[in-house]
Parts: sequence; C-alpha cells; structure tokens
Amino acid sequence: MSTTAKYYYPRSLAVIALLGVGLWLALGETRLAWWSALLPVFEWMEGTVFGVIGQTWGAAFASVQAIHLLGMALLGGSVLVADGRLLGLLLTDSSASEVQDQCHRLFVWALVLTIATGIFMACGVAIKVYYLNVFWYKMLALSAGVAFVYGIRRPLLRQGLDTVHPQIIKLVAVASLMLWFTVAATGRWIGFSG
Amino acid sequence: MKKTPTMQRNKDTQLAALLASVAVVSGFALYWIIQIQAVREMLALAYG
Repeated sequence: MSTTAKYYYPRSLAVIALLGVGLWLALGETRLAWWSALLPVFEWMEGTVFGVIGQTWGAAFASVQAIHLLGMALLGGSVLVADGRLLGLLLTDSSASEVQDQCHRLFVWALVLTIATGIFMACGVAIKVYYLNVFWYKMLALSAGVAFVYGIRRPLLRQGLDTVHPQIIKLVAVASLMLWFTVAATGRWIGFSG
Repeated sequence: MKKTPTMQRNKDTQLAALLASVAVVSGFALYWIIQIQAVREMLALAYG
C-alpha cells in the first residue's frame, strides 16, 4: 500500500518554474526594462578601483585575463573529466564517486577563481560588455551552469550512482557538457566582439 | 510498498534532473540546428 501523505516534488516544480520564467523573459519585453535598469551599475563598475586599473594598466588587465583563462581551463578540465567518467569514457578503473568528489573540489576552486577575475575584467570594460548581447548570453549560461551543478547534478550524485537510472546519469552528463561548452564558447565570443 | 520520504526525495531529484537535462539538450540542439540551417541558406544565396 502506498503512503497517503502528499509529496509535492519541490525540486521538479522549481525546474518547471525556472523554465517558465526563462521562456517568459525570452519572449517578453521585461528583460529590456531590467537591462536598462542595470546601466547605472555598469557605469559605477567602471569608476571603481578595479575599473580604473583595468582601463589604465594594460599589463594588469592582461595578467588577470591570463589567470581567468587558467581558471576556465581548470573548470573545463574538471567538467570534462567528471562528465567523461559519468559517460563511462575515461578513468573507468577508478571509483566514479571518488572521481566526482575530486573533480568537484577542483571545480569549486576554478569557479571562484574564474568569477573573481571575471568581475575584475568586467569592471575594466563594463560599458562595452553592457552593450554586448553575447556578454548577457554568457552570464545566462554561467548562471544556468552553476544552478545545474548545485541544484541538479550534485544532489543527484549524492544519492549514490547505483540508485539512479543509468540513462538519467548519462543525460545529465551530456547536458552538463553542453552548458559548460556554451559558457566557454560565449566567453571566447566576447573576446571577438566589440 | 510504502514510499519513505527519502525515496520520494530521490524520485523528485531524478525527475528534476531529467526535466532540466532534456530542456538543456533540446535547447542546445535547436539552437545549433537553426544556426546551421541559416549558414546553409546564406552559402546557397552566395554560391548557389
């Protein structure tokens, strides 16, 4: 006999709600109002110490950008290895949960490094990136990637790989690769724009 | 069989993972199909 207590599937409902909000923002005009409201923030960013250093001291900007790229490489590497293991493509002789834990530790450090250096770089070119569509695509992809890792991937893997349907694990790995590929690609796209 | 709260939570997490992953994979595939189609049309216009 099944239990009579109702369970409302909060995580699944949150995903549906987020997808709905995403569609509403993509199809409606609200995002333009939000975009306009954010202009003073970007103007303020250019006037901060980071913004002034970024605009006036090319070597500092280039060095921070190099660290940003190293952070991206670390982040991409940890995602590739973790998802490659979930897909059964590499490190198959190592324990999957151990690979996931170690890759996640590296991922966290890489994410902190990338976001910290990214904020510095964005301050230096705040008004330029404000008017670049691809910057907003990257922020959207990054937010989706971080939400996916902490809201979907980690809680799923915490259950234990044996208790999850193998096809769901593979689908999550493919989706994760696609999200982080988009983050990296839009990041390079910013470099070629404006 | 009686479903424990842990089983329900696990099922919820798996369903959420399925929904989110299908959305990401379909969005990604749709974007690239549209992009490739647009490039093919441009190439056809340019070179016949």
